[in-house]
Amino acid sequence: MSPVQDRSFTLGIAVATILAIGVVVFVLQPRSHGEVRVPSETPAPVGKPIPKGTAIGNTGCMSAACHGGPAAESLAGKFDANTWEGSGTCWNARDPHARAYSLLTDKPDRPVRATARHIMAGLHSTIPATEDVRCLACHSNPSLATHGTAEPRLVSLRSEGVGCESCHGNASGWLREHTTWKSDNHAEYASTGMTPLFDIGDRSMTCLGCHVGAPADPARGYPVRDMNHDMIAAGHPRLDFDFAEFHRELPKHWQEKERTPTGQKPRGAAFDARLWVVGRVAQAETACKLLADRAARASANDPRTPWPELAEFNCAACHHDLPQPWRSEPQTRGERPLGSLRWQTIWPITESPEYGAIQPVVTMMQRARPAGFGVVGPVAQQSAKNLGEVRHNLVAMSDADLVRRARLGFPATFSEHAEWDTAGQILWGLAALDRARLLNRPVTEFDRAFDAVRRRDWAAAKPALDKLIGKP
Amino acid sequence: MIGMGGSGLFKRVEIPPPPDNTPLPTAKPYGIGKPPYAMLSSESCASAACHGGGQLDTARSEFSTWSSTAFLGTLYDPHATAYRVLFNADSVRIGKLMGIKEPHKEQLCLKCHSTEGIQPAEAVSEGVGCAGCHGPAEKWISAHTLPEWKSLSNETKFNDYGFIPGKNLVARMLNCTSCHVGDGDREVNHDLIAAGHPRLSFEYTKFQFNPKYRHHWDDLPEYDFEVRAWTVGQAATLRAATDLLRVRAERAAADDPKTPWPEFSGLSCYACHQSVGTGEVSRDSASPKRPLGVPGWELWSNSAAGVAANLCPEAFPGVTPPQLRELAALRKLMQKQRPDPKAVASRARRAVAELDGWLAAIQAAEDKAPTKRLAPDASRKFAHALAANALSPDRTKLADYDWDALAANYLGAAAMYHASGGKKAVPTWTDPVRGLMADLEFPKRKPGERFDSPAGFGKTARDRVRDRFRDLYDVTAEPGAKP
Repeated sequence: MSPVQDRSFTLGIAVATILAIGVVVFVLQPRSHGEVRVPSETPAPVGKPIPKGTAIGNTGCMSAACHGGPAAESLAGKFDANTWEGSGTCWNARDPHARAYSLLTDKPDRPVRATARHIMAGLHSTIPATEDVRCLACHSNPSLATHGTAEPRLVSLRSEGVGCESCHGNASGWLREHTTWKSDNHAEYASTGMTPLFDIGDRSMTCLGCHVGAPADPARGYPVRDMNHDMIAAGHPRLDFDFAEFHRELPKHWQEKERTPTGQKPRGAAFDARLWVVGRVAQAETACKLLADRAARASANDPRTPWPELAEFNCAACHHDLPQPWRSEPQTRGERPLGSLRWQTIWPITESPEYGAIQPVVTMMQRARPAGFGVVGPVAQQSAKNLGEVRHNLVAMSDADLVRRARLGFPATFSEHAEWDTAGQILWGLAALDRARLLNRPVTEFDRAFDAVRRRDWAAAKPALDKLIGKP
Repeated sequence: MIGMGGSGLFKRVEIPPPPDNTPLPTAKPYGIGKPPYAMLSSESCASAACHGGGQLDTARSEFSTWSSTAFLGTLYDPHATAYRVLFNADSVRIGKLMGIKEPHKEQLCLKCHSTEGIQPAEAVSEGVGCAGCHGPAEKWISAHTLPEWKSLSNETKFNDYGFIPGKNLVARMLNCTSCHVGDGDREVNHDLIAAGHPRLSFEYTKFQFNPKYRHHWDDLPEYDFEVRAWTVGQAATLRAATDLLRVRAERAAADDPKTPWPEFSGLSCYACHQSVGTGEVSRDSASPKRPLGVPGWELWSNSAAGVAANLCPEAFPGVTPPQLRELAALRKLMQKQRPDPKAVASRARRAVAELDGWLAAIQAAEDKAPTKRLAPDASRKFAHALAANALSPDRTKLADYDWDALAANYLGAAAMYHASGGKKAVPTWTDPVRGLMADLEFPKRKPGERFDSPAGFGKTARDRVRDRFRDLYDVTAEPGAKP
């Protein structure tokens, strides 16, 4: 390297450092109890490395030359190798996660039935939702959620909503590095703390952390994420998640592709079916982890953890009118004792013997006397572990095997399980199969089935569902 | 405001639970528990010279009047068909779902649908016969025909002879509630309700004045009866519900796998069994103290009991209004995130003792002066207090939006309307009272179908209910009082 080059290289580093500091507006350092790193008022001395896992904020990603480029194509549903250039713009323009924080304020970016103020009043909270760790845990980057008033810069970071780093991981460890990576980069992701969202198993688990809930994760500085029956009663909508369906609805800011050791290739034909099966298993896994955590908190006498936690059960198991004659559908009951509540349906995982991993939890929770918090934990933990293995296998499974697996989600008697909570999930599954070109049913048949379910007309819903799967 | 002060039951201030060493009333009413004598079948009573005279609605024909088969095509006492309903389609279906092959041979059912322990065993077919309400006749069947019988006190009749002195309202209702609410041995729990058994929703005056109930006794002529009956009914129903909670909590604390905890049938049914997400937020119409998302414990028997306690001296002059602080503490315990069965059992035991003290005081007052006329406006005071109790202190909202709580206040108000002389005597009450009934009734569907829940009971209905209670509050105000 010539002296000139050397000088320019040094200068380059200096400029890059200054730029990086400029980009990294807030230099972040560990808080006193070492859980979450939040921006400090005083910048760290130049040259001191920013700890890995620190949040930078959307501004770190959205410069015009990075992810803040034009997004006309992706917003029009066209994706190519350059989609990443406008991914931030696309997110900003249309992604619902961008509005997440605003829902905690008095000026929500979309109409809501119950405002955050209304919900907080119902919870007899003395602080606003924008200062409550329970709300911030999912309505902004979870690693920035703290309880009580916060300094303006932290508030500003949170107000970006569920921004880039909420899903991709806090960027201090990979902000510069990720611009140089080549195709097979699992190792880099792992070492820098970037979340490998290209793996649909990890992707689904990332979504589910908020859309179902998750225990605290001290390593990432995440608090408990738990939206429970108290909050629903106060006016928060229930969490009613299906990974494949929400994934379909989400405005994509990326080009979907498979990463292989030799490069990238388009996703396989069964991708939509895979999203569905993986998403369902991941949801069951997440639900088990959350259940175990709720049990642990109840055991530790946490005043905010009820037991039984009613949000663990199907809403419609209780919330239905009682018409006579016959007010329940005994055929949907199976082995469950009469009058017990159906533990959350995660179709087909909680219903099918194919997924034995979760059956111990289902049995425990659906007893006439649901298992006490003292005994549920280890069982739910074990089920979560087993389901995690199933999830890994599914991600790597061949298309043919995956399709077989997806079809097993609809055994001959599947339509007899139709009741409010289950039927919606069955329909989402059928829609995913249809997108994967496994059903090829006309859209009118879907409309008919959706309509029957919406009207809770199970007599009409059953044949409509059967027709979709091609049952004579 | 009448009904809001005094007991502290429904005060808005936080009351600390009384310490465990607070002395409790030691008095117990007679009439609790099963006397240890043989149950005789109704045939023992039904001879023509005794109670089977064969003349409808006349003395000495009590059995004939009670019986469902003596006079076909007329009304009878529904207790007479308690056994027979075990054969109907509902019972067969309930049995099937519960894994009970023959409900009419099943102890779980027969404990309330027949006279438990009746001899001979075939006599279960008489339903809830004479012995079910009047007690086992082994010791008193002869004695009660003798002139000396009338000189015995009610207490002696029960304690020494096993006769349930129904003339004393406390003794009467302690017996009614052992089936219609439940006791340590009999209960309709959520499993049974899920199988199709109707929920139990006992309110004494509603049952006694059910138009389909033919009485086989002479009703007392004066209307004051209903004021007293409603008050005793509140105390006795609450006592039974509290004691049932104690039993369930004790079983749960002992980890009995067959005892669900919390037992849903002890909570408000329609707290859960309601449509949700229809865009209305129920708590906007009311401000109950209960935390959101927590179904209230026994709102049915708790919601209006405070009025009965506060105004007790109006119905039973000389009885001090009970404080019921143990009960308030119990309610608070049941609202916890994780009600601890051990703590609940111990608090419920104390609350039962507290209620027993109250019932014993009423019972003694009743025995002393069973037909004493009440002050002429007693029923108005009760109705006014019930309307106030259903509303928030400033009367802009309901105190509680729960259907059970509203129904409990309505039923009390309806009893007071009746007691005041109804439409002729208090015409201004008619609209609010009848309106409340219409608003709270379950919707009717096609013939042969019905709802067992207030389907569609939403904001519109709740707002109307609030307005009716406001109207009732106004029309029952003390004459000349400032609005």
